[in-house]
Amino acid sequence: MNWHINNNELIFDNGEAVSFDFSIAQAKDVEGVIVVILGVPASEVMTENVFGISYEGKIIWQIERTPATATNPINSYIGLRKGGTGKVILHNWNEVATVVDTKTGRITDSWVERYR
Amino acid sequence: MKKLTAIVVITFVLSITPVFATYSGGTGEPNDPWQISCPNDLLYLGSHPADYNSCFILTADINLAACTVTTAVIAPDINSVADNFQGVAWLVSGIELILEENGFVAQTGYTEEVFAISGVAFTAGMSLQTLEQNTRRIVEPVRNSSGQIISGYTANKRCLEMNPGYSSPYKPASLASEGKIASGTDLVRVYTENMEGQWAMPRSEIVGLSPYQIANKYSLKYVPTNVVNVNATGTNARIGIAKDNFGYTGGGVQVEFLGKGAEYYNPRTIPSGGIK
Repeated sequence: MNWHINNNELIFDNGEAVSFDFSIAQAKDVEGVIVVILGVPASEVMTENVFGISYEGKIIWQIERTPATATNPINSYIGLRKGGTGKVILHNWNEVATVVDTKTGRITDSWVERYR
Repeated sequence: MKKLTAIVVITFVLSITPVFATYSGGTGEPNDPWQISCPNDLLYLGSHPADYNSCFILTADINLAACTVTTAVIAPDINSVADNFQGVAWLVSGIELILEENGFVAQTGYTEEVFAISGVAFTAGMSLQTLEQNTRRIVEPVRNSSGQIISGYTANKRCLEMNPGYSSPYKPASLASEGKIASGTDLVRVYTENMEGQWAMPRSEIVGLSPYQIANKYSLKYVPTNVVNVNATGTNARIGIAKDNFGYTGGGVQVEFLGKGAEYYNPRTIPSGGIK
């Protein structure tokens, strides 16, 4: 399924679209799930700014809240990379890496990776 | 480690010019530091700047409440050495921690900090000049702001409160500071994949260092491959000394941003011979 980003919208070729409160900073198709990271402005607070979107244009999960990244309200996720089958590794502004199961949105691991 | 109980207020109204013979013992060498055990020893040190390159050890609690002074107890005229702040005097007196010349005003009453500072200054056998140089490294990025000097212990505590997943990133027995990043502060960030993040360092700390040397100086689990300039003027930050970890020595001055808004620009590969 092809898709593209238009500011705060994820738009599929079949016409389905998902809108978010903030612009989309990054999105990646991980085995059938579009993992979307929202760009949270410095003046706004949103520590769980990652979503999993199905090809049908449905939000199937929002990343769960975890103390390692949610304790400080200025934190948000700012990057991602592949993390093995069905997994994505998210990079938080406070330099904590979080592994997420892209089917469920559940966090399976996390660690500090300063300056990575 | 002895605890320095210094009760000095910079705004005391009278001045005394004591005359003392010498310190309570020692020769000033690293293996036999001058012994500071009473107020007279401290005041003697203050009146003998030629001794500042020697080593000292605090051998007893010192209470300066009965003393009246109009200037810093030690190094009242050291401004020229420290450029924009008052040098080591306020560290050893340990109370007001006032850097009035550039507006950096540290909070008072931090017994822990006084303890840590006295430990750094004396127990480690560090010369006062070295202490002053190290202090300058952690104050320089937040000059001209209203902030505070804290110990590495407190820096770790505050960092971990907001980052539960962290292990202590600061060297405990060291100085740290908090304030707003001053205009013109030349910061960079090293990384392998993530150009943006909460941590950076003064560029001067890594000039000429290879990626491995940078990893050693900052106890990095990942040897960095890239560097990016960071403009963080006005951003609240904590500045401190990197703790040893992962088999590395640490010791670099690191900047922990406490707020967002920093700009990252000019990303590039770290040359094998280091950045200029």
